[in-house]
Amino acid sequence: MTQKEFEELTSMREILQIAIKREEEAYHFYIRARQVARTPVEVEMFTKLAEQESQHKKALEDQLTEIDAQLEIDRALSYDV
Amino acid sequence: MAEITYLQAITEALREEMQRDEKVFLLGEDIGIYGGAFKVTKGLYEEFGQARVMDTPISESAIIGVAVGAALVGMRPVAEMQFADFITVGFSQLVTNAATMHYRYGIPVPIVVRAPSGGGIHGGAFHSKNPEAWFVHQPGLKVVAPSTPADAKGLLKAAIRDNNPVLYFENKFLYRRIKEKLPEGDDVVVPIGKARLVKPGRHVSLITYGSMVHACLQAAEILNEQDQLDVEILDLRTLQPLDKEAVLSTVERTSRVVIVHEANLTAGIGAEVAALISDNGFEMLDAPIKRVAALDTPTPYAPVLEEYFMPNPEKIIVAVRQVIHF
Amino acid sequence: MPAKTDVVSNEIKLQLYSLLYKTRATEDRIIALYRQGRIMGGVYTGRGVEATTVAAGLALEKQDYLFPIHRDLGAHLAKGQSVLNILLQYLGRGNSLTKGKDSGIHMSDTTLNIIGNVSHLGAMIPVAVGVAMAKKMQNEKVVTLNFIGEGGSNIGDFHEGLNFAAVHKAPFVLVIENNQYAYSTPAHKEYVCNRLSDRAQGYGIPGYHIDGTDALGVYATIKKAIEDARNGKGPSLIECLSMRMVGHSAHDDAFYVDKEQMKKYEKKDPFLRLEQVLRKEGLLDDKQIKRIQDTIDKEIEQATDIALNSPLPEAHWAAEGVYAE
Repeated sequence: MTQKEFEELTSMREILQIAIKREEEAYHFYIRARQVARTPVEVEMFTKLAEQESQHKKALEDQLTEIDAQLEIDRALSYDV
Repeated sequence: MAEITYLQAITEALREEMQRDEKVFLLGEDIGIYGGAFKVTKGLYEEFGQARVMDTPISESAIIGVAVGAALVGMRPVAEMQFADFITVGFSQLVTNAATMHYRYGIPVPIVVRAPSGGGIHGGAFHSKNPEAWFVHQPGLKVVAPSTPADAKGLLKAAIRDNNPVLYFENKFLYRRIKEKLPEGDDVVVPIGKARLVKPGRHVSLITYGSMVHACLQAAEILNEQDQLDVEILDLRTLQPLDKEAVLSTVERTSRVVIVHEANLTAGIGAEVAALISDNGFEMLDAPIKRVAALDTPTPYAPVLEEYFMPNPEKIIVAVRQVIHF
Repeated sequence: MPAKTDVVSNEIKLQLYSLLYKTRATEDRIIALYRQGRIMGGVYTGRGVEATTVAAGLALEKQDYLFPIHRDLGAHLAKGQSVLNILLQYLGRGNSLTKGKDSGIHMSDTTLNIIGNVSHLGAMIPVAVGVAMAKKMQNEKVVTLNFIGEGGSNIGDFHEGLNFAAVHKAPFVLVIENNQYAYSTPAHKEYVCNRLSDRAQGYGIPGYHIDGTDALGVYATIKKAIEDARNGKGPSLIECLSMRMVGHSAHDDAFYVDKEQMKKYEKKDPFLRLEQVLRKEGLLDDKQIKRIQDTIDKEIEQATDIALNSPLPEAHWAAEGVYAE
């Protein structure tokens, strides 16, 4: 793996971490919104939106796991990175 | 309940067994201060000291041979191969010494050889091998290949407590990709020789082990959605001795079988399982047995080549459709 | 340099003599049984190297571990093995130590701390090192001694095992029985270094090159190496130079061996050599020699009778014992 590729991967890691944090914030935003919702339609809408954010977060976390797992294998393969 | 990775499960099993029995010690390359190439033994050197977490020269034959010798006089060594590929250097020690000692002399050889195996990691021909079939062919050795953190932990405990030489193939692709909630401090031992029904189903059986359990789960989901097929998955977990009863009972339930392994096809575990079914369950079959495995080539390096080489959910799906529409 | 032989007590000298005779007489009996068609497979004798194998075996203490190879019947006997067990093993009887499952002197005896070999002789070196390391871990002052031929010294396990032992200061002694032929291949086609003991330097351990036909010299040197190992000084490599005075195995007439060299070594026969020394020292006379030899001959005679009348293994045992409980 070239240094440039490695740097890109490192920054992808950071991007994912930032994105996960944003999904988390959005999730909590919709949960709070649901608490002040007044109609069943509103409650249902915010519940759905919170669920979506939760799924986004899971997808991003899976991707982060994948990158970390492969990084550790790459390190073991090349031994010095 | 803490969520731990497949890799952490292995570390936990090592730690707990070393705490339980002072005869257990580890030896291998870079496993001490460095914690192992994959960090499986991280923290154990600090906890147990250099005599029980022994760094060795690059000498796989001596590592396994020394383990055999130590086992002859009451120790329970766990040897680490840095990559399963390098087990070839210690091959003679395993098949000549470890495997035959009890048969010839009646002396047990309780050693475990841990071997990080498997591809899909762009490791090329010498860091990706799945060499389990070589050892299944040698009477006197036991061979296990866990697919989940629970089994990784429980099978390693069983391997360490077993009085025979056990080859423990841990799949390095799964190391940090697979997580599972395990009860903390629970001393669960997964018996050697027992398969696990991962998912019951009615239409077809996928018989598999190691990393391919996860590929089979993905294939089963797609087949359920697209073909309305109810797929059964059997994880062999132990390759020597095979759980014959579990194999035959899944055949009895579904009558259709696809055997899936990451190792290459010819004379692999799949061939043995197919022969077992043919000998004992031919009349239960409604279709020929299919095998999905890696190509019969060395593991290629470039991702596009490696993907073509490896078995995957798509290839499993093709095989399942063939046996269903036979 | 060999150690001084004046440390060898008279008692040990006489034991060496008895064991050398017993080794030769037992091997002669085995060859006779082979020629009668009662022993199957390969028969490999130690003719010419007996001084090395007997002295090394005798130099070990009871608690020490012995890893003999195929020409080391003498070491088995010196460590306490009975002629009967050896004959039962060669005859493949059901009451032999391996119950008929292995051949020749591929036999272990855990009551005597003897671990038998596989035919890949060098493969035993790392295993012997493992025993040595384990005993050190168990805080026991136990030494492990293993033999290898000059032929087997070229296999990878020789290097891996010896280097491993040196790095971890294992209480281990490796004895090279240099009998100058690997089957039909003469030493100069096996290695080109001056002495195999020089390899010790490469591992940072002591190396000794001694006359392997001189039982007293071998005993003294190996005894010193064993005690050094016991006292935490790590492993030693001892090359004992001798000559294989017969073919590779009982079927081989050794036509390829240099006849001049054979003649030279006939004069250095380990057994006759020790007999001469002990006569000169006044430890043996004709009467004593006859008494010793008669006792041993009688033991071999009785053992042969018992062994030949012992049961064969039951055929179905072939399928049993692959795995431990």
